[in-house]
Amino acid sequence: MSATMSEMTPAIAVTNLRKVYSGKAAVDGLSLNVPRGSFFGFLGPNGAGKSTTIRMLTGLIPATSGTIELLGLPMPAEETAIKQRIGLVPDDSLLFDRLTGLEFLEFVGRMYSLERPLARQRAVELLELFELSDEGRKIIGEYSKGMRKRVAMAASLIHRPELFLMDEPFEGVDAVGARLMKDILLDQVKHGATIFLTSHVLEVVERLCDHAAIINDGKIVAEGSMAELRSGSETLEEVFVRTVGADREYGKLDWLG
Amino acid sequence: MRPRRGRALRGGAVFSAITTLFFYGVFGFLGFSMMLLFSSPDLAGRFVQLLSGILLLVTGYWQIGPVITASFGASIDLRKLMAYPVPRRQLFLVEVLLRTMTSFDIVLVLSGIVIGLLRNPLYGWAAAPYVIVGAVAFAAMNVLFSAGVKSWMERFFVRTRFKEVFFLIVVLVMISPQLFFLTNTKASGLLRLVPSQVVWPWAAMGRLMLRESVLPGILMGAAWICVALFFSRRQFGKMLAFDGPVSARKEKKAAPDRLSERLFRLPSRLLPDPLAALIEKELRTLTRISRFRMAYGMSCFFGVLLVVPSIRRGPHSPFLQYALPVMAVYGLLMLGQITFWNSFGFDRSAAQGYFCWPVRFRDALIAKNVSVMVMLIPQVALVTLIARAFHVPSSPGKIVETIIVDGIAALFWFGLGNISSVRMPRAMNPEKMNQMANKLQSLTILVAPVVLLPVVLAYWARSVFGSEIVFAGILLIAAILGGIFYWVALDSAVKSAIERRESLLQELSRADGPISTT
Repeated sequence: MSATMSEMTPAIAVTNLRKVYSGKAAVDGLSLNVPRGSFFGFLGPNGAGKSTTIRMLTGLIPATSGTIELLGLPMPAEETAIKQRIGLVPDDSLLFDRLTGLEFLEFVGRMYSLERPLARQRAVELLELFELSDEGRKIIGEYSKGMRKRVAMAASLIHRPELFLMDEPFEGVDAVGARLMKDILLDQVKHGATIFLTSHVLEVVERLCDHAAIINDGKIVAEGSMAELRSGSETLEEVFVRTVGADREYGKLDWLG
Repeated sequence: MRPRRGRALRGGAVFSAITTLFFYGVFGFLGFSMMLLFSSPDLAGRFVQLLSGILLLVTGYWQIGPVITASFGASIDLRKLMAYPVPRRQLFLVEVLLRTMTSFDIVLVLSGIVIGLLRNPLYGWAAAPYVIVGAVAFAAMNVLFSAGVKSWMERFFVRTRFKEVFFLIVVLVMISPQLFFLTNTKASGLLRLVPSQVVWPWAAMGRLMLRESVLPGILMGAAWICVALFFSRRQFGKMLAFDGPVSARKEKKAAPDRLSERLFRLPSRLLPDPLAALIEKELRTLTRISRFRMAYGMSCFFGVLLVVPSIRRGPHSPFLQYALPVMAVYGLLMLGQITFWNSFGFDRSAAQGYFCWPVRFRDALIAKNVSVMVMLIPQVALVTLIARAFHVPSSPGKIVETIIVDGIAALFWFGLGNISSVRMPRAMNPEKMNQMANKLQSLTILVAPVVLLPVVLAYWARSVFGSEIVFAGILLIAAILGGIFYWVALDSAVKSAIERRESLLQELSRADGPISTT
């Protein structure tokens, strides 16, 4: 495939993706196209299949059926080539607690074939960018949750990927940290990268993303640009609540008043 | 997945039942021995000294038990219950009850003493109130003291690296019977050293049980119980108010010093990335885990216990010829529990990186094995030094033989370990010393001698044919077999890891249960 053709393909193209656990489909016939250079929000209630989808995209778990193409390359056939070009911030920590922040970033850089001095230099710069210079020589096990997220995001940037897959990247991050991370991500999109993130925080998605999809019970229930999704006067929250079928009265307990 | 896990759990339960039965069987036997000892009227003249000595040992064991548990990081953290409206007094009661419930082994020994005295015609049922009150007072004092000691040590272990020093002390205490044996120290000589004056708690309560110095015994016993109650309540209160993680954070050192940094970077000078980066990461990680450091220290030292009987027999003992390789291989086996039998245990959820980054899983496994091999170099050096201190033959030729045998054993065990690491992974908490799958332990014990059969064969051939050439030849064959075994096992482990990555990561991401321990 030529470079031009490759650039024309979506950053993520998923067709009829299924993942079945003990006879129950966690992801059920999911099809999705994420345009290149987009900031894509992947929304859904708890247990809807967001993390399972992202784990299949990263190759952490195999799909039961369906096809995945990332950056025009088929997964898992071109797994190594794809991994070289994506940056990942998973929900569970991908951090080695007994390394310092600096050591970890350098290590990750070397995993992506960066020469040691270059990996070291980028690690120092990333720590500075994420305002972690003072903490860089501390062991990651001592970091707060927000700091861990910042290091994980810094690690996802070290090899300058074209596509970012992020599972709840802002969870546990304070407002200042979140602002910093958002600015960095927006800057990446401006420079041509594609970002695919899951989040529970609809305001974040609404503010950052230009495209979004809503998943419920393993199926896509709404998809499109933010403008398309919010057609009319609905907010994203209203769209979300309506599409996942949560716009009903909840039960009440007498003793709770 | 579930049926396999269910089978593994059942297997673990059976193993636990057998070990529990064995453990309490040993204490039951001790209790029975005590009963026989104290029911004999012929020894009554020495009962004061004897009972004081035994109760001193029991006190030591009683107090050291919770300390070991605390050093393992395996005790229940009652601070977590402070989120609920439970009065501190009741929490203290829970702690005391926990100490009582975990003292059943000692109760077996004490019961033996009590029954023995009641069966003794010189004491009998007439002495029952004294015997029982003395024993109960002794138990109460120890339970209270152990609650306080545990609370105190838990704080101490979090704050400092005393945990490791303490472990070395435990090792010394554990080998002390062997050392007494080695130095021909007689029990009667040791008994004379026991402080048996009534001011000591074991002596006061022992005397009360024997109806000797009853009033001073009661007074001193009561005083010691009051001291124990005050101490345990005070320490428990301090423990509840203790902010462990914050205090620990202040103590932890961050970046390594220059020398360590050079050593860590050594693999990068010899090997290409990503292998070098992975080995470097392993070395940095392992050396920062106190549990590894302790196991490493013990792996260097414990081997000597195996050869003590041969040392005692003198320099011409035939086993001494094999002592150095045996000590080294035993050291490797001890390291296995926290390294190659469960290679990804300390990585926990971060092990997903090996599937996310553009590296071969094969490289990750090889790096883990190579880093253990790197650790074996100083281990063999230390084992040799210890062997020399105990006059175990350790000529240059013997050292070379040890390195070769250790290397061959490593090939076989790493091969098996790689398979067990991906098929039976278990998340390990670096702070917990005792966290080790029962099935892994049993696997280690069962499999270790079997796979080393070619090495054993080489030694057998040397002793039968008296030829070093035959010995070297069979060792060479063993090394080739080990190499083939390692590569085949590595391929199998990689294939298995890729196929089972989901369950592998799920198992490694398992956190502590809701009733979390420190």
